[in-house]
Amino acid sequence: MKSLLPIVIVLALASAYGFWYQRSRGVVKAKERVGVITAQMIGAPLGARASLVQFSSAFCTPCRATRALLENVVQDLDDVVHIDIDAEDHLELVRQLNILSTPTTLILDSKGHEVGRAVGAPKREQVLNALAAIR
Amino acid sequence: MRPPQFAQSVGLLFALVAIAGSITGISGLFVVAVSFALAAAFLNAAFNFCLGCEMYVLLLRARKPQAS
Repeated sequence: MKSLLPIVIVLALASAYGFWYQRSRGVVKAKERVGVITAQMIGAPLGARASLVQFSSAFCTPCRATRALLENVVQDLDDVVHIDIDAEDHLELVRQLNILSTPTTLILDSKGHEVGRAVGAPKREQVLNALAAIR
Repeated sequence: MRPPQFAQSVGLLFALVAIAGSITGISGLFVVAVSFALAAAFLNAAFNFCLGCEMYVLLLRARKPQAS
């Protein structure tokens, strides 16, 4: 019976972390950032009004959900583009932009300033709100 | 689709460490390794926690030296 206590402790700690994890993933955080992300850096032209730049890795399940969501979002907006970048192939960029996990989505304005960032699969309304705030 | 090789190898590593701890009689090592494996598997199942997503890029960044 003595072996049950560590299991309970581990599951309790993991649950606490899990709740924090679920709350913190995918939240679009506003960002004031100096420096500009150029089309050259990400290897694709920026959108006329805004760009959603997603960093992914090959096996990452939430990356696929994010891709589907963002592609769906930009379908209705002709001045916003979605760009998917494989973090593994762009390590320099990943370092430069301080990407720590995948998926990470950057929201850029027309000039390439990062105005928001979501770590984890973002929520649709939050992406739409962030985009609506960009003129 | 590529299987989650990274997460699988992390799980394997924990299991091997646990076996090593069990064989050598270092019960602390065994308990810690098994705890991490249990926590990761539980988080994955219950909270959609993606260990590979959190760790893989960090590992890549740490492993490949910075070109300056």
